[in-house]
Amino acid sequence: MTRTDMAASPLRKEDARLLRGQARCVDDVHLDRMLHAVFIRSPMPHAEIVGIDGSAALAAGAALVLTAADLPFIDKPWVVRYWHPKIRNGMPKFLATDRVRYVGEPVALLVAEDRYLAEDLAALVEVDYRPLPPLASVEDARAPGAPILHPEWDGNVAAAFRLEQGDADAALAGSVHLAKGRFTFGRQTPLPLECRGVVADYDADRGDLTVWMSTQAHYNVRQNLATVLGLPEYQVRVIAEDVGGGFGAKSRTYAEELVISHASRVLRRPVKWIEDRLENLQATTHSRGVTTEIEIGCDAEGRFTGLRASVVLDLGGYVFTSGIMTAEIAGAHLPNCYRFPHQQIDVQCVGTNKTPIATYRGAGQPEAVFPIESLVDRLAKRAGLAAAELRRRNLVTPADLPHRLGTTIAGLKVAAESGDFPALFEAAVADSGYSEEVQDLPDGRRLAWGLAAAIEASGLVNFETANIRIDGAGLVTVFCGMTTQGQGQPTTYAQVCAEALGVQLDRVAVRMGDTQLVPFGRGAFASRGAIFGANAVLGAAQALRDKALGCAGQLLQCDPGELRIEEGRICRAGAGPTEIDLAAIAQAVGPGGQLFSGDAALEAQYVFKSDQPVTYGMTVHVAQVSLDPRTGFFAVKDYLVAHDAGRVLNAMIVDGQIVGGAVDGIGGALFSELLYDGEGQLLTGSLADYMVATAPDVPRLRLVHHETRPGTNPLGVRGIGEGGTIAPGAAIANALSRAIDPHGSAQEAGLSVLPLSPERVFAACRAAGR
Amino acid sequence: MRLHCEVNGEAVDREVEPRMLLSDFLRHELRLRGTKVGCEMGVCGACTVIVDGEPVRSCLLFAVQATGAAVRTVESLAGSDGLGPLQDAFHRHHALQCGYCTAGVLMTLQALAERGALPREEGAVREALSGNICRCTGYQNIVDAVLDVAS
Amino acid sequence: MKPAAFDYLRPASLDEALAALVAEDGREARPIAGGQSLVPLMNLRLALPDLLVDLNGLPELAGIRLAGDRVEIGAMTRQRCLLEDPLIDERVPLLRLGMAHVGHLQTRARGTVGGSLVHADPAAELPLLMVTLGASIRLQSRRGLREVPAADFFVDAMETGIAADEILVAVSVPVAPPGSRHAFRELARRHGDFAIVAVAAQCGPAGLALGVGGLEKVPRRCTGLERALTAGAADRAAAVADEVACTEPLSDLHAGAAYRRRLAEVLIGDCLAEVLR
Repeated sequence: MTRTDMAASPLRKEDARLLRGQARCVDDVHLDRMLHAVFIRSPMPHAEIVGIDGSAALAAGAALVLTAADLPFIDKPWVVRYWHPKIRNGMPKFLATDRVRYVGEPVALLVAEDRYLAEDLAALVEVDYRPLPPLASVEDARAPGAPILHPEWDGNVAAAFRLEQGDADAALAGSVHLAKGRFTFGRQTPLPLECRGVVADYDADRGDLTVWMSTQAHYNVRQNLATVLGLPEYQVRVIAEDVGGGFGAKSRTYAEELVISHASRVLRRPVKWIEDRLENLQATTHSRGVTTEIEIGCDAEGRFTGLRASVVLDLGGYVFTSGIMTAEIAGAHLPNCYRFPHQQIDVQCVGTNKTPIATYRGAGQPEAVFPIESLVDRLAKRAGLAAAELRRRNLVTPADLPHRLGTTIAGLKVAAESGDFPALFEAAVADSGYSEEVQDLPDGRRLAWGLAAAIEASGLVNFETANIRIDGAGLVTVFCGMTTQGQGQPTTYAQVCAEALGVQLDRVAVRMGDTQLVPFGRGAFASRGAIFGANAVLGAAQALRDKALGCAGQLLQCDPGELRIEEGRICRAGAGPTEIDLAAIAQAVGPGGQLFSGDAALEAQYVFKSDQPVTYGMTVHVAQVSLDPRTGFFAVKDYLVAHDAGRVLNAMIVDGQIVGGAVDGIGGALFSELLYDGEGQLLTGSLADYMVATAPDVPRLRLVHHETRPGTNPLGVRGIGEGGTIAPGAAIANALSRAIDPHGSAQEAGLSVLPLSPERVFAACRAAGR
Repeated sequence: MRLHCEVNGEAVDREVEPRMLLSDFLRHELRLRGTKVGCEMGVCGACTVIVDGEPVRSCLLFAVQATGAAVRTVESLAGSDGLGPLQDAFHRHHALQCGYCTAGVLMTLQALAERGALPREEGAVREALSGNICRCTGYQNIVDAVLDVAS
Repeated sequence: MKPAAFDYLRPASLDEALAALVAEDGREARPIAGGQSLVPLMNLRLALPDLLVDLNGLPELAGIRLAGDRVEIGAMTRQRCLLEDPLIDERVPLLRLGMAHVGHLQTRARGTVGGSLVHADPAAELPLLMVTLGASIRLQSRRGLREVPAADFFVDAMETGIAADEILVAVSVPVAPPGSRHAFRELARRHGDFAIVAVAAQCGPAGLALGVGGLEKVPRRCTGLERALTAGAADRAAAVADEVACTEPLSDLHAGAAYRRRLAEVLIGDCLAEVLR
């Protein structure tokens, strides 16, 4: 397969300090006179707050107890990036006012001299609750007479809308073969290894607020701090220097940031809050939690006719600050990488007494791919076709491009504009060794393959900023509005800058994760680091190159068009280097230099903005499982991911993202599930119960790269942060279904719930009649 | 209580509350921020340090229990001449992304390396890593880094 | 997630430790061994001892030695040692087999044999192994020393017969008779997790010993099945089914009761196939 590498994958510039233990995460920030906070959280899934009494805690030494009544900004609105017009309100307050709607909801804040003491004193804060009937499931929420969670949520529906193209009912009625099913993707959480945390330091005399925190989206936090707390935006600084993973958990503003900052303002002392793991599992946003009823059909030749689906999100107690993004994408992506002429997709978000749902790596895409790709396998059985063959007959081809899925995200019609899906699919099938034959092993186990194809979205939220400066020694610093949680931006951005500017990689340093660096940016989420961040760096580097060459032309008294920059030196076309280098130009441009014209430095800023809502690519995952049908226990023996990253900026980093994402997806398909009891209490409150993949649980992954260039951005890159998580559930379920029902009888194995716990797999074995 | 111990070769003599976790003592009292904390329930492995040669969870040890012990953290691995062998292999194999689990993984492996017990076969490496959760890398490059150092 | 305050004592002798455990005015004194189960509970404030009596300063409680036809394992012996000591491998090979499923490098390095037994998690391997092997557990207090058969020691999930003033000092395990065969099978969600169900079996001249863990509140020694098979039951599968049918399986978020029964049946069958000629 073709693959262009920008350079021979230079090793990461950011590694040394991480390896030496020099990263500075939020809990590594220690300020003079700093106090420590804990949140008092609701132990009840649904209750009225009758009263809160912090007097005993204050008498015992607490520096501050805050409740909703103490927050002057309690009724101010959040600043959100995107809001679906069908949402019927239901956002949380910064602390619960008169009612709590999930276990873990912040009710009060307590501040003390140290964390241990704060936890002692928190036990003295008395909250009087009057329990209300808990809505522990979508069924509870829909039951006649169920309490309504928010006044606007008629029937406990927080949002409902339809995505439609053509006439799906007629198309299905006219189909030769039909398949339908009901699929549930369990509730999960992104689970970064570093929990959230905030250190807020309000300088009362200057009116400045500085906040160190573990976030993916520092500018959105700054906007919220400024508008909600009523501070000048440029006097609020948010720093997220080193962040121990995000995966969607930290891509929005949470109430804790605002309340801690307010506490610092009240106390005139720095305040630190570090989320512990129990809080993280209860109160950091959850995700997935989608049930999809779906029916598809095909004609006698196996061409898809129509798709009709109902997508229901178990939303939790509030619409959080990312709205209903995952439900919207879960619906919009159901047509996947296929030509469906007719479709009708109803999306409904139902309120329950659980933690609010927001994004997790893949953000709606795994939720779409599990049902559609499971159902394509079932339809193939009905049509008497190989599962791979049915896909071949329906994949979007290069001739179909640009291909509109027929659905919308954020009101914009989504379309794949580039790629070669059939070629990528064939590469995955051929390289993996995929077969639809089931192999019986002597010990009674069965080996079977399964695959899943998926359209892969990247690069939402449409702009990013980069600023590049060259100092008097010719050293280059890139400032970007991004954050990093380890995706390699400091290295790839340096590569992009070095190539576009014409300097050595080791002359370029990259700084990000601080709102003081550029006026406005976004951050790292939605697979946007390469598409938006790297293209912003490219634009700034090109502008700076042109500026430097213009200056060089003045200094050398020649046409800048005859000049170029190589390894930091100005060279003439067809001749060698001149005596001028970037250091000399930087000196000339600055104050006191011969070219000084009011600029303080040799610099350029560029905002990359795209009106293309999403860049689409494709990925195919192929899994081989070994199943013991006596117990339902199984192992993933082999796993291949084929994908299209577009132009590869750093192959080592791209591979690392794909493998890391896929293993997260495999763990999610096998293990990860947040379970509630019938009373709305979270049962999986530790990492022993909420499980993710560990090293022995996964095989060595194989990768196939198939590169095509998207036209959505100058670099020709696609995002690759999330694709790994999209297809594992479907690929593994398809392999298991085949292993359970090896002879392909009409009896369908019915593996319709993720994660694929051995008990669920065993139930499917039983149902298949062994 | 008075705590005397040795941390990264230096004598430490501090007054601590008995309930202070070793992880908090190292991070917040000694300001050795390399050791990270991921769960405080002994599951994730991020806080693994070496105590008297053994890799242990520092969130499951009270600092006072380290009395008389030699404690080592990730800050001890790099010498004046650069990264230690495991750290260097992690760099070359891209065995870290966000880096939050890295100190715990390194200290687990360092303890094995010091007793000549770094596994040389992939299955055994994965088993040795089973007590360390990494959310970024998918473990594959960590496995490769270990195999590189072990061979 | 930080523990509540407590007093801490690191006794230099067993006598001092035992004296500290004698309760004064209702204060709860608790021994701490490896802390791998106790400290998470303390961090969550689910365990709130007033006094922690640290047994880590008592080297006399650690060590593995042969005493006649028994192997004596000190309570403070680290779990790691069971995997690495050749005496275990030679004399109690079933213990070595089962230990391969216990925890992770870091928890085995610190976690102790006695700590795991006193914690008495229904799904833990060490209690199952001790029950299957017919080990006896030595409990010391200022009132004296007593020895309890492992099968009687575990009384309920997370509950044993140890008294508040007692310390588990050692466990004494019969050596496997020459020519014994051993099997240990476990199904857990991930490597090192507690078992959903685990089965341990040893068969030698003295007969068959078979135990199941994770199935019920305490490890089950399958004496009915042992007797049936020793008596030469013709239908092994039926005998296994009979044994499993009369259990009272746990049901929790990891597995339901019927499924646990099923797993027990399969694993017992596999272990028997391995140890019975």
